[in-house]
Amino acid sequence: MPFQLEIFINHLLNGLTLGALYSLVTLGLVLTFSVIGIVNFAHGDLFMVAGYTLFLLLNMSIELPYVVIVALVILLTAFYAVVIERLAIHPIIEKSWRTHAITTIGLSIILQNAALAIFSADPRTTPTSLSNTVISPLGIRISVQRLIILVVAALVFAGIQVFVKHTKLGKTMRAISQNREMCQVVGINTRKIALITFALGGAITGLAAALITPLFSVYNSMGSMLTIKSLAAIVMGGMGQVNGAIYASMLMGMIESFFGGYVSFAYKDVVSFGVFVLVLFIRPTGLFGKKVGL
Amino acid sequence: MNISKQSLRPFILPIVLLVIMALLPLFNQSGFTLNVLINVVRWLIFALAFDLVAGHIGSVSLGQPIFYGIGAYLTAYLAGKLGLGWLGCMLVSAFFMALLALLAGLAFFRIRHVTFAIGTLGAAIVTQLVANSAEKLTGGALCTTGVPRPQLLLPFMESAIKISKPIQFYYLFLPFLILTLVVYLAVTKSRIGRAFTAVREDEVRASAVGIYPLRYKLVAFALSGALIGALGSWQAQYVTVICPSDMAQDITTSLLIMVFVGGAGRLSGVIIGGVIFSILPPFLQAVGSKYFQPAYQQILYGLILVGVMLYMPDGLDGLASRILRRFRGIRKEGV
Repeated sequence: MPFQLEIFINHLLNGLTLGALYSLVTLGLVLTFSVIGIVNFAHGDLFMVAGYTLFLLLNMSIELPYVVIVALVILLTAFYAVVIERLAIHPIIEKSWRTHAITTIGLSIILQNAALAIFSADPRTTPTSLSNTVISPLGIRISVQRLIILVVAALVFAGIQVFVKHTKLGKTMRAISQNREMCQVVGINTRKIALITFALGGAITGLAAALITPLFSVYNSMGSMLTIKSLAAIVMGGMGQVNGAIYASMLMGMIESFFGGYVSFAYKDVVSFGVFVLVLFIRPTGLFGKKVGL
Repeated sequence: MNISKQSLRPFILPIVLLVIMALLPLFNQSGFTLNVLINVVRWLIFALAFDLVAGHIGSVSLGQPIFYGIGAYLTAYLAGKLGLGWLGCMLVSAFFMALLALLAGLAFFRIRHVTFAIGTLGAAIVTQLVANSAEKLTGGALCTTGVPRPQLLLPFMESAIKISKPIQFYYLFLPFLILTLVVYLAVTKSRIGRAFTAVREDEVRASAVGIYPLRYKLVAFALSGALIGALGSWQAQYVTVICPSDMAQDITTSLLIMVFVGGAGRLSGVIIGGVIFSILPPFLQAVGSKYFQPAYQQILYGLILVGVMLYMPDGLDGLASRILRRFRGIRKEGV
């Protein structure tokens, strides 16, 4: 097959949007992980619940503009995250990682099957007018929805950098992620910050779901794969390094797009997880991680 | 030899369990009972092997179904293509899965805690995806079918019996559970078991007193892999079909529920959890599949798992022993 620039650019764009999409999903998880030190195995399921929320809002009798719906999904998902934090995470926050992992796996089972009982196993599509509109600048076809995802992802990451480095709350979060005990000693209410972080993570997840699900569909077990991909990105990015996790997500998107396009579609997930497992073997601290024992 | 009452205690529950399980089919041989019993045996072996790693050395491996699946696929090849006998298949599967566990362990034990859990989960997903996609090797989503049933040939018999009835399977399977229990007890109640505990509680301190953590982790991982590999081999010959979904994540979830709701790292806990959660699903289904959809059952499981984690971190076993202690009027703290 001769090398065709158009196809290459298409795969590149596809990889970029896929990466942007993964990193939006990962961002919510890596925030809670680095600040609270909790690995949330129910993160993908929160995304799924947000996706169903979008589905319900889009199918309401009153037709709301998409922007309003996105805002509503963000708010509602932040609310779900707060509820989850209060009920299940708050009581075990000081316990071992094992308790964290198993509790959140339990949460994931509950959410997945509640969705199964309510919505059945059939995938639900949530098309918006934007996801079907295709523009083709310079002969490259891209749907407006994908373009929006790219732009929003870039904005969100820029926003997070500013937030973490230049606001008081962001600085507090960074301090807690570096040394929780010292923060408590100097009078920072770490539990309150944990709740806020969870809400922020939920809001970002809601935003991700509201933007991404129109491209695909929502089904009850979609969360598992998202969780594990986000976790893989976090581990590759060097446990708890927010930027590292974002780079790793982009990398995974690129690998999947190029491998799926040029070599074999059936094996694209195998390869992206294979890279993850390989990274673990070669550099257990992650690609972008500092040499710390975690 | 001085055998005190105290040292016999860990053997009471498994022996009672085995006696009940061995005798039950004499009273009730319905297909349902046997099905439940075979289910109990399978899950108990699985849970015990899982607990060797998760409960005793504290490395929660979410990839144990890999050994099960590969053991099963290996058996399909060995028995179907090479005509190896059932015991041979189980032994070869056990051997290769132990070897695989050693190699995987060398790599995966470089990472710890939650990274280990995530890494092993990643490996499990890769394996399942490969099994799904490599249609020439595994039959893909259409499964590998037609694994031969075991044939039993004892020295005094003229010709081999083809094992095909559930009751035959059950009694051929039970010794495997006994073996697993013996291995579990022999390992955990010995010096090795105490080293496991030391490694689980504090690796640095363990190595300070001369216990090399990696060695003990590998021992536990290889043992677990061998047992699960043999189990997969057995299962392949029992149901004669192997699918990629046989190593799906729900298996890991069930194992987590059994072991952690029962009580991780304690034989009585694993037995309680394993028995309850392998009996519960068929009963719930039999009682009212109309009223009790699988989804509700899973929700209930999730609630139990979260509830146990929040309110009784040492599981049902911890609760039981607390009640027993109060019953006996002994108030021992921190045992």
